[in-house]
Amino acid sequence: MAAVEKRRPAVVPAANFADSGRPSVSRAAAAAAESEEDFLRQVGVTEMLRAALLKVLEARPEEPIAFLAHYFENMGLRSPANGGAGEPPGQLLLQQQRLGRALWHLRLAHHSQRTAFNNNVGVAYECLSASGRKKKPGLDGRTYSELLKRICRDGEAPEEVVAPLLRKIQCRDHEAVPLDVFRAGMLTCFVLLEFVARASALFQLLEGPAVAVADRRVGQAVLDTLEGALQASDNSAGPACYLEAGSRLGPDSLALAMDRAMSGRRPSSPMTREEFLEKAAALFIAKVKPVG
Amino acid sequence: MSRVSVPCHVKGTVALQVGDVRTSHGRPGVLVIDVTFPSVAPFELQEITFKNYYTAFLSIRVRQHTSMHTPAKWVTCLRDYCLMPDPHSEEGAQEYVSLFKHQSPSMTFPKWLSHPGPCEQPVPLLEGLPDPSRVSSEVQQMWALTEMIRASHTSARIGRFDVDGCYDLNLLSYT
Repeated sequence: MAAVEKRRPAVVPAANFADSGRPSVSRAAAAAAESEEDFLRQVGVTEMLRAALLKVLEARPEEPIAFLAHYFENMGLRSPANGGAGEPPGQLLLQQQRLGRALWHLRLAHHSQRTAFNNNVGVAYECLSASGRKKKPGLDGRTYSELLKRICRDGEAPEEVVAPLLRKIQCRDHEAVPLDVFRAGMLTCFVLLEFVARASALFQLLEGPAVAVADRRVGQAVLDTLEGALQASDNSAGPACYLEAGSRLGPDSLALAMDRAMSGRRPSSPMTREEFLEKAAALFIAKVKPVG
Repeated sequence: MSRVSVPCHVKGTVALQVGDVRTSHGRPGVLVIDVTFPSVAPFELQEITFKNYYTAFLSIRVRQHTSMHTPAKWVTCLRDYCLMPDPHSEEGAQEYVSLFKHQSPSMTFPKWLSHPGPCEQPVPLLEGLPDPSRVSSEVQQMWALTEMIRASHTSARIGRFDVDGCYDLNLLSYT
């Protein structure tokens, strides 16, 4: 029987019956399989799938199918979009493409998967630092700041909430941003987004039934308890600060704080989600080291 | 049935301490007192009475032999019962305390209820308050994320040469 060779150099047309000794069906089937494999290779699908599988192995996501779905969705960013008006389309388009690609790399792994995350940060940095026709090599402050804003916007964090962070870690437009600063900035950004998500979930626990606001006394009491625990870490270091935080933030002491707040003499007033998130984020941002 | 005192042997206190006993300063916060009952005859424990001496919280664990064939298990009967509402004040520091047994027929081991002692326990879950354990979980995660960022500061500098935040070349040249 005809053996199917895996690496024939050229596509064999299905209608080639030169060798009458061999069964034509298996020859045609082999030729069809050969052309399919070649087709996939030529359009780049083989390479793309291989890269996708490598990414899944690196990131080890909890939901691999969803991860792959997002991966392929973002592949669309790689194909050139329609050019913008005004500026020379090449320059602006290139910039947007670079940003999109960098964002895609940064989202592949969660910040807690530190090795994978740092790898992706490196790739994103290189992607943004690549020199273009009119662009010098390296990452400029303007692109960096734009990237930070994009990440926060896409992460659905309200602008007022992230603005203080951006003021702290943004770089001036024409400053050159080194990789270390870039990496620290990316980590801070993504961790803040998770922090805001947790604060949002916390607010949902605190908000009253059927209303979208929380009792101000309770909300403030919870935030004050968190602030106290963070300040305790300022004073002590090492295991003592974890024990301290654990005791302050345990269910019993939080229950006590909330109960005390409710039974105080101050009247109840509402606190909106936005205000709660702003105040919570401020506690986080206070611990971020500014760029300098 | 009249109440009878059960002879018991109270062993010396053992301190629970982390780290090297020799080099660590200060006194440990947790002490363990072992109480054994030398008499072999089984009995039903009804009441424990003692005089406190500056202990804030008390936990009691009991090792029970349920039958000859099953191994004895340790059971916690009382956990963190508050003897002193404020450990730094005198209240409750030298009180006499009685703890009574309250038999719960559905349980296989005695369920201990604290006798209303000298302090009032705060009620952990009131009507209308958010669930403290879920609130605690979120807050602790928020704390951990903040601590992580605080710890991961980079020493890399961006290389600014600011004078009062100003990039003015004339100003810089004078410093």
